[in-house]
Amino acid sequence: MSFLTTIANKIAPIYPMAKRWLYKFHGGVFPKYNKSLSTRNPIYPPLIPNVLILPLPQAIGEKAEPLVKVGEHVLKNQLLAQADADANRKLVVPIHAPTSGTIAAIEARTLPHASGLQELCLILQPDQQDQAIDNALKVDGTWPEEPQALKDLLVHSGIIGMGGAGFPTYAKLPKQKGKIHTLVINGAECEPFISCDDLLMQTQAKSIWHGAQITAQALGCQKILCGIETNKPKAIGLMQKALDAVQKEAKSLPMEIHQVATVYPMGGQKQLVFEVTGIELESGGHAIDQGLLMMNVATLAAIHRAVEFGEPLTSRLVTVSGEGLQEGFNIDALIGTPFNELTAIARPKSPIDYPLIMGGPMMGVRMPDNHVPVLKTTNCILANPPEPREMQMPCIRCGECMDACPVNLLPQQMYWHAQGHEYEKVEKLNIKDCIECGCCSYVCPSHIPLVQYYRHAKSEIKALNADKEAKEIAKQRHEFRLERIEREKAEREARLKAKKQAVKKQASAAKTPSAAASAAKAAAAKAKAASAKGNDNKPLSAREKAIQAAQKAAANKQGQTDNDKKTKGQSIATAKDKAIAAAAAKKRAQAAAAKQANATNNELSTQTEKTVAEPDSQPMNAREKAIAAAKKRAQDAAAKKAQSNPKTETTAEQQKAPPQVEDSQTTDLSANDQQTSPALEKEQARKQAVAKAREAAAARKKTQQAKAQESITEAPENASDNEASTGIKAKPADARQKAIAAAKAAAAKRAANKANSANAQKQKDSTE
Amino acid sequence: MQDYFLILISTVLVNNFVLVKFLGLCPFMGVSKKTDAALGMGLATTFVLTLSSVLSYLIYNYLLLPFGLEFLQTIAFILAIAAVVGFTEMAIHKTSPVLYQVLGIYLPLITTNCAVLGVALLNVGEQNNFIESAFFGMGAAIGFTMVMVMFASIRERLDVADVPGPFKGAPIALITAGLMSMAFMGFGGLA
Amino acid sequence: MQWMDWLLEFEAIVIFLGLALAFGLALGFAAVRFKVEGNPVAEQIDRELPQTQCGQCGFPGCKPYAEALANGESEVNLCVPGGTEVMIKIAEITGREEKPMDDSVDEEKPPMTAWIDEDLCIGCVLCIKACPVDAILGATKMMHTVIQQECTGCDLCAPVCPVDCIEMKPKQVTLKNWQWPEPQMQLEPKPLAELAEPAK
Repeated sequence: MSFLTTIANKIAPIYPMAKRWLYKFHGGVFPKYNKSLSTRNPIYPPLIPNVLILPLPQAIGEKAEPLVKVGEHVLKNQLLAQADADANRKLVVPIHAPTSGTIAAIEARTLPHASGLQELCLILQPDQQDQAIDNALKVDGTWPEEPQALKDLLVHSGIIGMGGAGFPTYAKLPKQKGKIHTLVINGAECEPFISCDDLLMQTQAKSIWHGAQITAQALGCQKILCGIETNKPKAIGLMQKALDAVQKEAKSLPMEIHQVATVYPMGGQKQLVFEVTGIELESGGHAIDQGLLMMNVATLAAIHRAVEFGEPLTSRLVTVSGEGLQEGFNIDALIGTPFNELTAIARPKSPIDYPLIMGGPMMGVRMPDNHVPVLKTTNCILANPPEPREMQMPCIRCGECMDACPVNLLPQQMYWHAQGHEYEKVEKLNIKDCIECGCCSYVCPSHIPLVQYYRHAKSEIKALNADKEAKEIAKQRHEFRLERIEREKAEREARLKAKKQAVKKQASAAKTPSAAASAAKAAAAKAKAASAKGNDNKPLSAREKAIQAAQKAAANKQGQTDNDKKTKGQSIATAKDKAIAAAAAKKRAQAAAAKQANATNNELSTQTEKTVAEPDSQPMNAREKAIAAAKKRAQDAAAKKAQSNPKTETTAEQQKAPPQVEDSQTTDLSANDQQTSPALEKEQARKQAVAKAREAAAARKKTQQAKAQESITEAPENASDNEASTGIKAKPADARQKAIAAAKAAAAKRAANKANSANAQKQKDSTE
Repeated sequence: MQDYFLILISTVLVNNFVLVKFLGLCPFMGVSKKTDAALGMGLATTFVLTLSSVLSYLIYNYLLLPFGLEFLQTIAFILAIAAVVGFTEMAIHKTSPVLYQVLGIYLPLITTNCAVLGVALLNVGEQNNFIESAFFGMGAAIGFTMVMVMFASIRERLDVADVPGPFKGAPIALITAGLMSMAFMGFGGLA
Repeated sequence: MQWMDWLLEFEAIVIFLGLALAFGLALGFAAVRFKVEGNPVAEQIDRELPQTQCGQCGFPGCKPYAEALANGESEVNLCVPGGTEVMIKIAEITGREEKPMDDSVDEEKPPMTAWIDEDLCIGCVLCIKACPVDAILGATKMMHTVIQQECTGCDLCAPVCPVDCIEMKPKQVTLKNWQWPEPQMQLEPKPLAELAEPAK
């Protein structure tokens, strides 16, 4: 091995790719690292900036819900925001206060993201006191024995993968113990300029090992491997020292350090795992499924602090470096510290009017604004002044990119298809496995920004897939809607049919000799149906009411005959009252006639009376009483007339006539009293009745419409739909009955009018 | 056995019907925009070619020769080919409607594909026996399919390549076909 | 045996007729055996259509249009929300000539969704009835609102609103649906990877 290393190093000046013999994975590049820019200075003392910006959305997952109000004073480590419901599902990470201070605002600020989008952020105004809540996570310092216990703790600690992806650590851990056999510690840090992990390993080596032990113990791992690149000899030495000390303290599972070749991208999960364990991770699969778990050194140190001291993640080591700075350094920066405050203390060579880069030069993204906060995933702030860029040339299909790709993809093919917008083909070339490391762009002799194409193609593929899904949902919803409309139509038709049949039955029943009897029967049937539909209470009470009304009417008849004329005079003052009285009287008269005519149908006729009385009984008042008296008189008269005129009982049509005759007589009587034209009154009465019927019809229509709408909005519950509709039907049943009654009255009136005139003529004839 | 193998090699590579004998160029240019379609077309043609070469052999040897009706061979072969194509068309329509749509007009055009009739007539001319003519037809069809798929793959890549303006479209396709033909000349003398 | 001799005179015709009859029978059998039911092409077209159910093609939804296309009863360039892209796909599937979209169709309209001004809404339920995918929530005399995830941006609800409280807005760009821009030839800044080299 060492022989090969020396040979490779000897050949490297003539043939740089000889270095590729030194590691197992394919591809890789050897950029200039420039790490000394930041490692030559010690870690900068802690700094509390003037303002902290804490974005509510994290790298992955949904937004957290703020728990604090504007103006509230908070202490260091206090919980500021957390998931509103199920944290596991939405991958929400809680946010803790990095220092004490007041919440100045909760407003949209530019995020450290390539999009430059603004999202809600908590703005914390530090009071420079740095008062902390000790043991904010309330731990007792014992290491968890079960994965779930560790996961529960990590949910509240706000720890996410600090290597770059930012996946919440609690979600990354498996639930069952023993699933992971090897824990790999990622200390490779292959990107140029970045040295924060290097410094962390030099200063907190013990914490890292303890964090690894905690995780391994909880998950039941069998060994711990730590991969560190050979260009960090200091870190390797200190880590080894710490490892020996840790192993001396207590016996633990086997742990060892692997020195890995210095090549970019050695720090990638697939690459480091392959290098350290010899296991190649499957495309598209999770490392966990293969019994492997990789964690960044910073994440492990954070886990140790959380488990041992109950400290949530509120700060991290950040490298501030770049060509544009005189004094690059590393700093334990509070989460939320603005980039420009950190670069300002690194003595920039020239004012920083160019965009800073978050991350390293290979994978980093340019910031849309330099006043963006440090995130939990920010490992480096890079200030590289823009250089005159090389012109992009056409692809010459040299295949350098293919040789450099560490995941064995075909970058050139993907580029051609991405450029030609053939995203399906790009997808077929496994672009999802691309880690966007930038090796292909680095080696491209034509200076094609290949990674940009892949990033674009990836987001385009994602959008296409989302679009496809949305399309499918829209199609399903549309089809469901069509089906529902069809079903509703069928139901409505069925209902209409049933109604028509009922009407037909009624009509056929009406053809029998005694119309009154048939009407009574129909009424009885209706009453029965009503009682069958609803509770028995309603019709019963209605019946009782009717009986009461009848009793009252009887009392009126006996006692108030004297007042009769006076009240009548009052009632006649308005035409409307008169009309109502007339209509009611007619109904009564009809009923009475029926009684007289068909003694055998006594019971039924009383029922008709009840049904007629029902709508009337409600607005019963003094006026009505007076009317009732008039009705009684009319009844008497009708009875007399009916007896004297047996001829009228023979046919149904003629049967309707006598009460009308009586009616005309009563109106005549009243006309005599009030000296008004009977014809005019009759006309008015009819108009009133028609108006009433119209009103009733309108009311019914409205209720039907409402019902239809309700059924439309309630459509998805098709099972309950029928029940609901019957329920709705039961409600407006009263109104409908009323309306029907009114309509019947109107019809009767019209018929009566005809018959009346005919009768009058007859009478005239007969008298003549 | 060796003879049959030789027949296969010679028809697939050395005497490739499309690139060496210039038969069946119509679908070669027409249905080679997409690899999937080209493969479908190739398979359909393979089916038709193999079946029709067998059928035409049977018709010629057992119907036309005994009655001395050699002068009917062309029209009889065309009839057989047309029937096989009609059958294939229905089968594809049923089994793969998408392929049916993609192939479009080129599917019935297999009827007049000169490669198909050419195979039948060459069979007669070379006095191949039954198995030989079957292999001859199959070899021709495999060669056709192979060239189709290769050409379609190249054209797919050409779609996204920077082709100089005047050469865009059909010219570059024909140039490509010419270059492929040159490449296939390399097989000459192989068998 | 007069007619036998006569037949032999015309044996070419007889043999040919026999051949034709045999093939005809075979094809006739195939026609019955491989009878195609339904229209799979319509479903394939339907999959390509944007499923906004907007009816701008003159058909009451995407599926009827797809069926009409499959039967060759309709033009390929009627899908307005799908634009040229969908037109090309349809032309590919049906094997017909591509046709330019109408001039009235402005190209490259960003995806829109409907928004209801909830202060103005009178709760008339007209838009609910118009929505082809049931994406509007509300009840009579109650304020309505659009379920943004379900809205296809078909624009059918806007014209029926009696108080003009429905507005079509472009879909909001969030961190979730933000897309990396496509690199522009020449205009794109130098790839970041090159910055790894120190300036000389």
